[in-house]
Parts: sequence; structure tokens; C-alpha cells
Amino acid sequence: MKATRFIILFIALFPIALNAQLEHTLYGFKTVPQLVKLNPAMMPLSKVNVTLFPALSSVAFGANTSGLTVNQLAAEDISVFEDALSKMKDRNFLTVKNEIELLHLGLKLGDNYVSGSVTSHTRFGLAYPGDLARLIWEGNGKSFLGDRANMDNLTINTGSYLEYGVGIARTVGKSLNIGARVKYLSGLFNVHTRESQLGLYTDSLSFDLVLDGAFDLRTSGLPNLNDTAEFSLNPQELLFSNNNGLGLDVGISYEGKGGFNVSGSIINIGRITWKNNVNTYQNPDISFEFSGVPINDILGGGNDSSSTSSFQVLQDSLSSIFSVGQSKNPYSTSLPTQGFLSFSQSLFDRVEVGVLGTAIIQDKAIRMGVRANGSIFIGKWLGFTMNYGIYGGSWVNVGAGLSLAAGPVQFYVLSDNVLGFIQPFDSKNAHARFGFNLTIGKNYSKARLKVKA
Amino acid sequence: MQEENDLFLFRMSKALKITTFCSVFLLLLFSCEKFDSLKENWRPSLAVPLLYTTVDVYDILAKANRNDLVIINENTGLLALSYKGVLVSSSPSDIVQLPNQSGTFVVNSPLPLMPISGSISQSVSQTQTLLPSGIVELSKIIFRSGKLIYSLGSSFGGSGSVDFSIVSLSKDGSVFQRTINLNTLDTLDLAGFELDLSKTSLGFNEFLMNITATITGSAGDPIPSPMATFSIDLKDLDYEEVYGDFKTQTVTADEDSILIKLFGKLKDVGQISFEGPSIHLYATNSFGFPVRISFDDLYTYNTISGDTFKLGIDPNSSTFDIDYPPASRIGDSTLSSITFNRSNSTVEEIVSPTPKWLISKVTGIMNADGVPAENHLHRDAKLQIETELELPLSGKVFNYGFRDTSEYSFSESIDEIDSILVRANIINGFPIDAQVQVYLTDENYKITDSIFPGINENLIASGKINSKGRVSEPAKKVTDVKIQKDRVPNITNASYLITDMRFQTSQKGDVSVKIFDDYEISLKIGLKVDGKVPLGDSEGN
Repeated sequence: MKATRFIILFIALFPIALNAQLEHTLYGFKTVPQLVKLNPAMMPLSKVNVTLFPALSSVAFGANTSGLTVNQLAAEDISVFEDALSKMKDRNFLTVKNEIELLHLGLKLGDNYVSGSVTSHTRFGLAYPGDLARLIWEGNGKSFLGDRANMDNLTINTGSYLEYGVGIARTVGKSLNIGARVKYLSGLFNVHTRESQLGLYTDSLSFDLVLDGAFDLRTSGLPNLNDTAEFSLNPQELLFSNNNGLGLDVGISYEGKGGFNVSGSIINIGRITWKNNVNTYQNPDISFEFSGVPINDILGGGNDSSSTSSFQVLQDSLSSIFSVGQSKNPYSTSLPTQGFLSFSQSLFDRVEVGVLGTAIIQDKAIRMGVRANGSIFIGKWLGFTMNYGIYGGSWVNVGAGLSLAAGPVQFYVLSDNVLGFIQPFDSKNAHARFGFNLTIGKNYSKARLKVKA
Repeated sequence: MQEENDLFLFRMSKALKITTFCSVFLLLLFSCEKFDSLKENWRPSLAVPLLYTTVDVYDILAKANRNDLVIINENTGLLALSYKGVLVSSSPSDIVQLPNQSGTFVVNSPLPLMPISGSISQSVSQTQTLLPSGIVELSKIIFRSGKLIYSLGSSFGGSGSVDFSIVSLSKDGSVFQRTINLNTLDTLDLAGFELDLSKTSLGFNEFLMNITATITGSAGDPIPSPMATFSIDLKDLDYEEVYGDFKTQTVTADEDSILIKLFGKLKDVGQISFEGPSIHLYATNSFGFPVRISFDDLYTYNTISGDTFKLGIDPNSSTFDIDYPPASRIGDSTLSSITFNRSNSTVEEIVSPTPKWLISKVTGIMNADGVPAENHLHRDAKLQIETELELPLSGKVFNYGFRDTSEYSFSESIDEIDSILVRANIINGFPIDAQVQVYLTDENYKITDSIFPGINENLIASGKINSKGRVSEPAKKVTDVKIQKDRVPNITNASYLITDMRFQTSQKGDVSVKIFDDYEISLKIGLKVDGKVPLGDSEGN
């Protein structure tokens, strides 16, 4: 029974990893052709690479919580949980992502590596203030008496889109690689919180409630919350919808003398404009004070019970606040732009060590991380990498990756935090990428970081 | 198309999986034994405002006494309660009545025999009595309605007629006169006619008629002592105005009982004293004669003790002479008043025992001096006497108590509640302390619990008063009532609520205070509930 629970919890927790899917471990792991997604200037160690869903496919999913771990939630000593709760920040994140590469083609042509791919992206992102968690746990009748529960920036951003990408990496001179990748994006659905300010003040003496804030929530490709009947979907738009967007990745890699390499990239520069089934829910000025029910109303209204009336009035009032203005105007959302900067040194032709700094702009926040790694490449069949990273609110992230090739068929599996599998209840991050590639023309033994493969 | 649909389904299912993952994850969290500690200890505290109100003296007094007035002294703002009742006198028809009258007048021929042919003529003057002497002496009547029926008969054959006039009866300045033929009858509508009753030698209650009969004989045989008979009938007489000396009569009025609601729901009589209570009598008189009022019965009645308290009146104020409009303003009214206060009566003594009723019965005498009077009366005239008890909200109160019982039921499930805190937050601008207790009883009215710790603690504290008895600073008072879980059944199972309230003015009723129109009290009641949030079966997995 305990094993069953563990498996269930493991499955549930498995996606909770990867701070916005930074893919620390994939970056620079040159035996896996998908590395071009993180730096279009990089070239994999094989000349021809093919991925095709579902047999040969690359799947990645992961999640991250910057808030509480499972063990903190499950501690027998409730003070452990309450201590962790008190330390939650003004903004905490819960991110779940999924990526399936439906098609990938890569071809080395002289000094160039040309690639194309079709990838499905789905993401659920929730940013929540620590006060919200504390408010749920303890209510407004304890530490929030006389204080404002700050629930600003409570946001939900989720969506799904198809990415059609074409990229090229080119060797310039003997030491420099440059690359770019252009992506056409076709959105399926989206939920976007443009603005979210919310505060609840409880008067310590009278318990009067004051709600303040503003919100602007937009959706596309989803039914109207107030009228689901008006929703319609043209099947042709599943592949190429009216929710068009463009994205750009750029990268650079330089190999110095003695196997030293420095590389960097900025990916996911771009936006999607959402036009299909757009619904905007806005209230630019939430200002609501609740002092209870006027006694005169009760005396005159003949209500059954004052307490029922009070809660009913509160409920009605809140409903009116969120009965908001709506519009159908298109809107756009930015892609989660990421940046990578890496320094590495190759040793003995087969070994590489380095450090990687990462940053991602998402949900109106910049989150950064750092990783130190070491990799080894043996023959035509083995690639292995390990890293230690600090990111996503956690100081303990140990990543690992393995690629094995049997003839042209390559299997690989990567994780940015293997501790998420070993100690899932203490982990804040979990991530995995795995799949099969068809790789031809590879020689891992010459894998010193030369820009020419 | 099938492929597109499949792709759509695939992508949607993938998106749903993401969302479902989160939901399942949370469900797993809270359905697993591993989180029992979390479930057991999730006991949030919810604080909400429940009720509020701000009421001033108008709200309080108007709600309690909707039919009464709150009087504000324009100069000081001091308030007084006013309880009023109205007495209406007997109607004008009870004072002057016009009975039906009739008369027959014989016109004898100047000749002993009526000739076979030819005419004879004879004139006479007659006086007709309208009213007997001794009750009222009327000098003039303007009719509102009535009929004058007149006819002519004779003792001979042939033709004849009578020319007659009533010199006292006129309309628009013209004296009434008519010619009537033999053996006919005619009717006059008297509406608008003026009858002057002063032209006879008596000078009242009679009027004059002149009658001239002309008879033409046509029969064969002479008729001895021929005569004609002229008759009048006055019927259904009603006056618009009437003038004269109405003599001394009694004007009766109804008894009136005024409910003093201020003392309506008293549980305890307590001690209450008013500074400067008064009883006002306002007489609105459109009768055309003076009325002297004497106070037969003016007293208060305490329904709790059964005692009555008769108003003692200073001899100099024992009668009330009511003025009247002059004849030139007939139909108008005059206002006269008299006030009983501490200087001329025992009014303070009869209101201090917190009576529920003020009962007044007055009797009036018109033309009480008895001298010949010139009175007048309009048919719509009346005498209305308004009695007003004015209680200035100034004085002292001690143990002024109310008790009320109401049905009660509680159907909400509060099994998971650990405690309930009810907070009363009161800012009192009145100079009054209030102690409140709410008792919970079973169906047999047996007290099972009470909400507040004790009845002797002030729930509402008096505002701070200055040397003039005025509140200079409102008092703020926060009262918390915490009900622990073990007392919850007493609340949920109660059948009745008995609310017991006691009021007293500042400093336990020792200080005289005043109620002004700018006083107000604000009340806020908040609720804080601590309890467990049920999260399913703790044995679940």
C-alpha cells in the first residue's frame, strides 16, 4: 500500500521540476541533437539527425515549485509546515510544462548545420503570493487582523501552441560558431493574467473587510465563462490557427585555444497574438468595503438570520465585483525569453567541464540559475553528463544525462534534478527529457569542443 | 479532417492532463495519510463583520413611537417627546336646532255677505313664531336648506287670489313676495334666503308677513261672512349661519386616552424623573361664542401597579376660557391654550410613576358669564381640544428595564467549530448606560445559558457628560463574548431568546442628563469563528 502511495505521489510530483524548463543539462550535451533548441549556434556531434513522433520522439516535462515541499506539507510536527509557510515569499511559483517534439530534422552541410522541427508546447504557470497561502491556512482572524493580506500578482498563465522552427548554425573562421532559429508559432489556447492586484484588509477591532485591487484576465481558444454557447472551433486552426506568432533564437559559440569554449544564447524572443475566441475579463478598480449588514435592512427585510444575511450580502457583493467588463479585442503574450551563458573546458578529448548561467523572464519575473557540470563522451555510443545547479528556490539540484547509441539509433534521458526522483518529498524541482533519435555520422571521441564537428 | 480532429483531441487531452495533474496532485496530498497532520491542524480563524448601524435620536424615538412627535428646542437642541390626543366637541346642531313650523292665517271679508258678483279686497299683517322663547334667541338665519310651502283656500265659490309677502325673508336684498290663486299650493326653496327675526316687537325668534286677499264672486247666492284661509309650512330647515343669543349651554366633549409608549414595554418600573414635563391643551374654536373649560378628569394610569394619579391644578388655572372669532369672521377659528407645568400643577408627580396612559375628559360651558350675548354659529363650526403631554428628555433614569421574548431556532451545522467570538463594538454618544443580557431557554422557557457574562456589566457605556448634562465625548466600548465548543449545544438547541435590558443615565442615575438632537450611537457586531475545515476521511489514502 505504501508503495502504491509512493508511486502515485511520484507520478504526481514527477512533473514538478524544472524552473520554467531551463534545461540545464541539455545545454552543451552535444550527443543529443535537441541541444540546438537552447543554442542555435551549437552543432550536435552527428551529421544527420532525425526525430519523428511517436516512435522516434523527444519528450520533456517538468515542474517547479518555489514554495513548499511535500515533506514540509506532510510533517507530523505542524510547526515545520508553519515555519515554512511563514518563510514563503511575496511571490511563489508553480510551473508545469510539457514539450513533445513531433518532428526534428538536422543535417550537417559543410560549415553549416541546418535543422527544422515541429514541437508542441504546453505550460501551466501559477504565481501566488505567500500571503494567499497563509490566508488559506490560518484565515483572516489571526495574524492578518489589522494587516493587509497582500495577494498582488496572483497570476495564472497557461497555454498551448505549436512551434514550427527552422534554424541554421554556421562556422565562421576556425573558432566561431553563430546560429539563429526562426519559429512560426500557432497558438491553440491561452490564459493570460495581464494584471492582478488584490489585497484583503481586516480591521482588528470591527472585523470590517476592505478588498482592493484590479485585474485583467484574458483567454483565447476557450469558452466564455459567462456564455459557453458562443464557443466554436475550426479544426483547420489546430495546425495553423489565427493565433499567430513569431519567435527567434540566436546564439554564439567560441572555441579558444586549449579546448576553452565560451557560448551564449538568447532564445524565445517573440510573441503570439491571440485572436481566436478571445475573452477579456477586467476590473481596473476593485474597491470594496464590507461592514456587515445594516441592522435596519434586517429589521425591515425580515430575513431569517443575521449571520446568513451577512454572508449572503458579502457573497452578492463579491459576485458583483467580479461581474466585470468584457471585450473581444486581440491580445499578445510574450514567449518566456531565456538566456544562457556558458564557459567550458575540454580535457583529454573526451571530457568537458564547465559552468552555465541561466536566466528566464516569465510571469513578470526574472529567475536565474547557475550550474557546474562535467561530461564525458566515449566512442560512438556513450555520452554522460552530471551537474550541480542552484535555481528554482533550491540549493540542491543534481542533474544528469545519458545518451546511448546502438548503430544509428540513439536513446537519451536527461534530468536537471535527479534528486527529485531520489528524494521527491524534499524536492522543489523535477525534470526529465528522454527520447529516441536517429543519428548518423557521429564520433564522440573527437568531441573536444571544436566548432567544427 | 479525421487527423485534425485526432490532433485536436490529442492536444486538448494533453492540456487537460497538465491541469488534471495539478488537481490530482492536490487531491492526493489531502487524501493521503501522510498529510493527516496537515488536515488535523487546519483550523483557520475567520473574522467577518456581521451587523452595523448608526442611529440618532430620531431613529430611536421615531421607531419606538411612530405616531408621536419629537420636539426639538430650536435654541438648545434639547429633545422632548410629545404624546397627543384630540377631543372634538358636540356639533352645531346640538346647540341650535330649527324645528318645523306651520301657520294658518284667515282673511275675513270686510262685508258680511259676499255679493253675487264683483270683488272685495282685504289686507292683514301677521307674525309667525319660528322658535319658542327660552332656549335660544335668534336674530337672524341664513338658510342652507329648507322649504316654505304655502296654500290658499276659501269658504265661497268663485275665484280669488292672495298677494302675500314675508318682509323678514329676503334674498340678495329683495323681499320675498308672491301671488297665489285660490285652492292652489306652492313651495319655495329657502336655500340662500336670509330670515330677519328682529323686526317684530319681540325682536327675536319671530318674523312678519303681509297678506292682501282679493276675491271675486261668481256664485248665484250671496255667502254670509266670506273668508279666505292662507297656510304656510316650514320644513327641513337647516342653517348656514345663525345669529342671536344662544344662552348658557353645556358643550360636551369625548374622553380621550393617550398611550405613553415610552413606558410601553417596561419590565421594571425603576426610577425615572423628568425635568419640566408639561401638559398642554390647545383649543381651536370656530364657534361664535366663548367657552369656559373645566377639567373634570385629567389623570394618568399605571397599568403595572393599577394606580391612577389625578392632576392637581392650581385654583387660578382651574378654568380655561376659550376665545371665539367675531361675527365679521364667522367660519374662522381662534386658538387658545393653557399649559400645566410644575408652576401650576402636579404634572411632575403624575408622570414620574411611568404611567402608560394619560386620560383626559373636559367639559365646556358656553356664555358662562350669563350676560346677554351676541353669538353666531356656522354650520361647520366646531371646538377641537388637543391634549399634549410633553416629556423633555432631561432628567434621571435608574433601572429602566425592558424584557422581550422571541422564538429562536438554529439550523446551521457547526460541529467543526471550536469557538465563536462575538464582538460588539459600540460608540455611544448618549448619556446612558445599558446592561443587556440574552438568555437562551428551552421550550419550557427554562434558562439554559446566557450570552453575556452578567447583566450587571455595561454593554453600552454612557458618554462622558459635562457639568451641563451634555455629552462631551462619546464612550467607546468593545465587548467580546467567546463561546467555546462545549456551549454550542446550548445555542443550537435553544427555543427562545429572552432579551433583558436595563438602562440608566450616567453615574447610575445620579446625574441629570439631557438628550439632544445631535446624539447618536453606532454599533458594530463582528464574528470570529475558529474551527476545523473538514477535508474528507482522515483514513483515506
